[in-house]
Amino acid sequence: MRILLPIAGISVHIGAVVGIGAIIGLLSGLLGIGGGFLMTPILMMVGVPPTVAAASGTNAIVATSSSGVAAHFRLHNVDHKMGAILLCGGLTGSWLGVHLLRLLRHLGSADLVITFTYIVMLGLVGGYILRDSLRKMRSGLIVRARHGGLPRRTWISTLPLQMEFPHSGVRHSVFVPFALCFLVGILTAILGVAGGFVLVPMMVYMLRMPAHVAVGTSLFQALFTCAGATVMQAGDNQIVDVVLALLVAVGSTLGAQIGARLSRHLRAEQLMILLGILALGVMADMAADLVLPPSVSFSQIASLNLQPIQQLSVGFACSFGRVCMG
Amino acid sequence: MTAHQFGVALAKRCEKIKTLLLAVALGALLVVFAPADTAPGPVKMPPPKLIPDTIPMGAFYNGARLRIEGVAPAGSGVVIVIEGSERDEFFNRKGRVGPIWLTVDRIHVKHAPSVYLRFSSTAVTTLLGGSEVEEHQLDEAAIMSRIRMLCRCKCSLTDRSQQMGTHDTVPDPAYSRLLYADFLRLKHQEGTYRAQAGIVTLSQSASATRYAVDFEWPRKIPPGRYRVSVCACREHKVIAQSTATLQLTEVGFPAYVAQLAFARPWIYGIGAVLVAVLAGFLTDLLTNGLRRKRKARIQPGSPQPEAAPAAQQEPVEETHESEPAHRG
Repeated sequence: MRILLPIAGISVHIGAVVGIGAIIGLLSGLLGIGGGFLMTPILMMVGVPPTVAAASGTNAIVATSSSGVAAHFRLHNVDHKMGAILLCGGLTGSWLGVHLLRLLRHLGSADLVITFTYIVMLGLVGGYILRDSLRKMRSGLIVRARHGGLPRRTWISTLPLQMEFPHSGVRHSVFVPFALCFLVGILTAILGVAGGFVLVPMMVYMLRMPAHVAVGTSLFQALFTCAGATVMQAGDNQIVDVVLALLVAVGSTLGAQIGARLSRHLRAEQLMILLGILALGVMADMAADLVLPPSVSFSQIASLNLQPIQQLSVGFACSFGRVCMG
Repeated sequence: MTAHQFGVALAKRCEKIKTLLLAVALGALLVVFAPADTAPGPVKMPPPKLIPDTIPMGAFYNGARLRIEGVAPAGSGVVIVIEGSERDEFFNRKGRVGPIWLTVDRIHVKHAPSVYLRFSSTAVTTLLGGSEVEEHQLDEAAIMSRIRMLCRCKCSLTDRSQQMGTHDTVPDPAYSRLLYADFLRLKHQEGTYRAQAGIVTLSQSASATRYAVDFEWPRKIPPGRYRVSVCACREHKVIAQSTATLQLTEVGFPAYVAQLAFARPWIYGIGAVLVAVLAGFLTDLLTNGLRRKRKARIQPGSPQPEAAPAAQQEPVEETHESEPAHRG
C-alpha cells in the first residue's frame, strides 16, 4: 500500500518507510544513537528529496527519542542533571563547530579534511570500544568502572564546581561533562554525523557512567535538540513532512521499544561491542566510498539557507550538519 | 506660398509616395516568391485530449494511468513531449583525486526542466531533421542547449590543480560536456528524463491521423503543472503543433497538510513536534501495557498490572563490582 507525502509530493510504500524506521529505532533504543546518519540516506533511496528527508528525519527522531526516553526513564536510565549539562556543552560546541566549518570551507579543502577526520575518528573510537569490550568479555572483568568517575588525584578532580550525579553514580566538576560534550559538539557540527557515536562512548569511558544510563541520557538530550531543529526547519524552510515523519516514527518507536528491552538482555560490554562494530562498519562504508568510483558522479545537495542557530541545532545529535552547510 | 513653391513641395511629396509604393510592392513580391525555407512555421492542430487532464493526488495516491490522444494531419508521425517547469538545482560532483574519490566541484544547473518525458511513433531521428529537433526542443541534446551550468572549480579536464572556489564560474567547453553527460545520467537514473520511441500508436485515414499513447505516470513526480506538446511530423519537418496542460493536484488530507505547512509554518512545526512526542509516548504506553498483560497472563499469582509501578514489575538487577553491569 502506498501513501502520498504531502510536502515531499511523492508516493511511497508504507511498509518500506515503516521498515526503515524500525531498523533505525532498534539501533536507537539499543545503542542510544540518533540514527540520523542512516535515516537521511535511506529515505533518499526511496525517492524523498534530501532536504525533506533530513528535516523529516529530525522530526521522526523526536518520536523515537521520546519513546526511547520513556522506556529508559522507567528503567531509571536517564540522568537529567547530566543530560542538561551535556546539552549546554554540545550546543555551545556545535555553535563553534559551525563557524569552524565555514572557515574550513573558505580555505577550500573542507571535504578532504572532514572525510579523513571522520574515518580516523570512527576507526579509533570503534576499534578502541571493540578491543576493550572483547578483552573484558574474555577475561570476565567488570566493564563498568568503579563509581567515582575519572581517576582521582588528578588536576581534573581539583576543578571547581564539583557535583554529584547520583543517578550515574559519579562525581565530576560541571566543566568536565560540559567540556567533553563541547568537543563532541564541535566534531558533530564539522563532521555532520557522530552525535551518539561519540557521545555514548565518551560518557561510558571518560565520565564513567553506566552504559545503560549513558544510552538513556544521550537519547534525553537528543530529544530536545531534535525538537528545536524540527520547529526551525518547519518555520523557516517548510520542509518537514509530518506524514513521512510519523510513518518513520511508527516503525522507529516500536523498534526503539524492542531495542530498549533487548538492551536489558545484553551485557554492557555486548552493547559496546555492537556500537564498536557499527562505528567500524560506517567507517568501512566511508572508506569504500572514497576508493570506489561512484555510479553517478552527481549527487543532489540541499540548497538550504539556514541561520547559525539552526545549523547548530540541526548539526548536533541529529547528524545533519553536512546538509545544513550545503 | 507662391505657385512655384507649391509645385516643388507637391513634387517632393509625390516622390516620397512613389518610393513608399515601390517598397510595398517589393515587399509583396518577396512574400509571394519567398523560398520554402522561410515559410511560416507549423500550423496549429486540435489540442491533445488528456485522460485525465487533472491527476488528483489523495492520501493513498499510487501514480496514475494517463492517455494522450488526438488528431494530426494525414500521413504524419507524432512526437509527444511532457515537460515540467524550469528550476535551479545544485549538485556536488565527485572526482578522482589521486587514488580517492572526493567532492571536487559544486554545480549550479539553471533552467533545467523538472521533468522531460518524450514519446514518439518511431525514432525521432527518422521523423525529423537535426535542426527541427533542436528548434522544437525534441531531444535531450536540445534541452541541454538551453540549460546553463555553472561550477565552483576553475579546473578543466586537463588541469585539475585548481581548488573549489567560492563563486560560480562558467566551465570550459570540454568540462562542460562532461557535466552535461553526468547530469543526464543522473536524471535518467531518477526517472525524471525519459524517451521512448514506438510507443505512440497511429491510425491513418485519408483525411487525418489519429494518435494515442497510454502510459503509467511516474509516482515520484511532484504536484504541479506539466506542459504536453504534440508535434506532427512529415518529410523531416514539424508540420503541425498543439499543446495542453496536465495538472497534478494534491487533494484531501495531503492538500490540507501542505496548506498548513506553507501558510502557518511555525504552528505546523510545533504541531509536528507535539504529534511526534505523543506518538512516542503512546507507543511506549502501548508496548508497556501489552508486556505487563503478557507477564500477568504467564504469572497468574503476580500483582495486577495497574496496581504495581513499572519499576517494581521489572526488577532492577543490582550492579556489583564483581559482575558485569547489567541493569534492568
